[in-house]
Amino acid sequence: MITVTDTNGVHTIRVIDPGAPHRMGVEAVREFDNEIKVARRAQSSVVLISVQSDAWATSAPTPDSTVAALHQCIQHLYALDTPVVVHLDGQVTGAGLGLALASDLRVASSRTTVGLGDPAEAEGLAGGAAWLLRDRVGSALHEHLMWTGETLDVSTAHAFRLVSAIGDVGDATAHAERLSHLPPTTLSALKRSTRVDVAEPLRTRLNYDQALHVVVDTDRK
Amino acid sequence: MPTPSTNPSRPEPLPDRPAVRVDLHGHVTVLTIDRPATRNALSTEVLSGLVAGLKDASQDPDVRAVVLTGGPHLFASGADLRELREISPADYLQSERLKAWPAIAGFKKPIVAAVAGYVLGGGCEIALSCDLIIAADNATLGQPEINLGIIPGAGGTQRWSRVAGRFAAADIVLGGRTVDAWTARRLGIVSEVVPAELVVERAIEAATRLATKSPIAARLGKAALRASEEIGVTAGLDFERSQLAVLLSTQDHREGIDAFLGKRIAHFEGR
Repeated sequence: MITVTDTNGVHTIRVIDPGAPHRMGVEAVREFDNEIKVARRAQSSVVLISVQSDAWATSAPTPDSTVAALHQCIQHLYALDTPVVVHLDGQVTGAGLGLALASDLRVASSRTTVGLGDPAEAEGLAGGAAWLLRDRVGSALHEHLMWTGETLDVSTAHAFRLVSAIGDVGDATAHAERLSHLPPTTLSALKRSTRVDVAEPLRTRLNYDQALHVVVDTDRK
Repeated sequence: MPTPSTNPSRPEPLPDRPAVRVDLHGHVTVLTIDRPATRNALSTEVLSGLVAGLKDASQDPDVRAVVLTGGPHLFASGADLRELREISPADYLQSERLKAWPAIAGFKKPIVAAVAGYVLGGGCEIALSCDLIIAADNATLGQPEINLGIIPGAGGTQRWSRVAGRFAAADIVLGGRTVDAWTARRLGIVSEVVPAELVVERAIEAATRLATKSPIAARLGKAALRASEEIGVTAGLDFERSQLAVLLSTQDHREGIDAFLGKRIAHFEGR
């Protein structure tokens, strides 16, 4: 459910909404993870991820095996050495928010909503949103979304800088193309400056959250 | 991980250029491992090149420090598996390659390792034998020997324990875990993490700073630091004191004190 194009130095990954039962399932995650690895090898200047509709809305509860695959994927996405622009266009919840936050610039359509999901489902434990949200915006927002299950509309998300800009996929493409014209060394240096000593803390946090997810999942059964 | 040949019975032809390139930067010798086709696997040829380079540096009074590197993309990926696969225990214990390790660890002048990319197995052990490690932001360090059914044989178990503590060492030596440059920095192994493009340059700067110090003091200071890994505190303090006593008889020590009191830069001549 993914298509890929390479144009004008931008490696575009389109994530197509597979529909409610399959969104953020283990197959979808592994397919996306493979495309991240391809993007890394492609060595394009910029990666653009276009998320169709509610493709990044998690279907609670997320099985432990999917969480493991998700966490691998998030680390690979976060570690890409080129800028990643993502366009969001629907519900972005739980691990989907983690994937969005692992990107560098988030452009969201006017219908986009973001959240960590229902606390009863503990979806905030899946996908690294805890660490990434705290790192990107702050612990107060993370804890508010986690405990209340509130979903933010795009204007509120933009006010919190959860999204960089409100716009359509053309706007996100324009961002990506603008970046692709920068010298590769500049892009690399800027990206590396945002990733100083974070790989290990992120991995530690993902492993711990995954273990907490197992605890919750076991208790449910 | 060490790089296996696609055909273990047919070694690749060696390039014409030496396995270890030697360059001089003022008082610093830079030894660059130059076998990118094999990811700088530590073949007998490479290790012999390092030994020869260090021997020349040791005998040259103008050389006061050494930089060991593989360039900005990788350091050394470990043992050459083609050589390691068939070797018997007896041959291993008598092999030429074993002479490289004491030559590196026993080198009396300061060595700065400029590491980048894969710094694994024997490559990591070489780095740990040096006095300072400058790591590129793309460096990954580790001892993956356990994944091959063996263990480090050139100091990995001993040096990781001493520099990072037994528990962190177990994660690396027994678990085969690798660490990135920043983690190595936090473990205290790496003194500085720099952009890969600058790792050799920064290592040369660091070595040049070391080269401005009294070469005799540097040698005796290094001996005292190494001794701290071998002997107890009381004996170590005695050794340190004896090294200092020797230095008090040198012209360099008078020059150093005179320069400090005269608010000028000292010029040490190694006498």
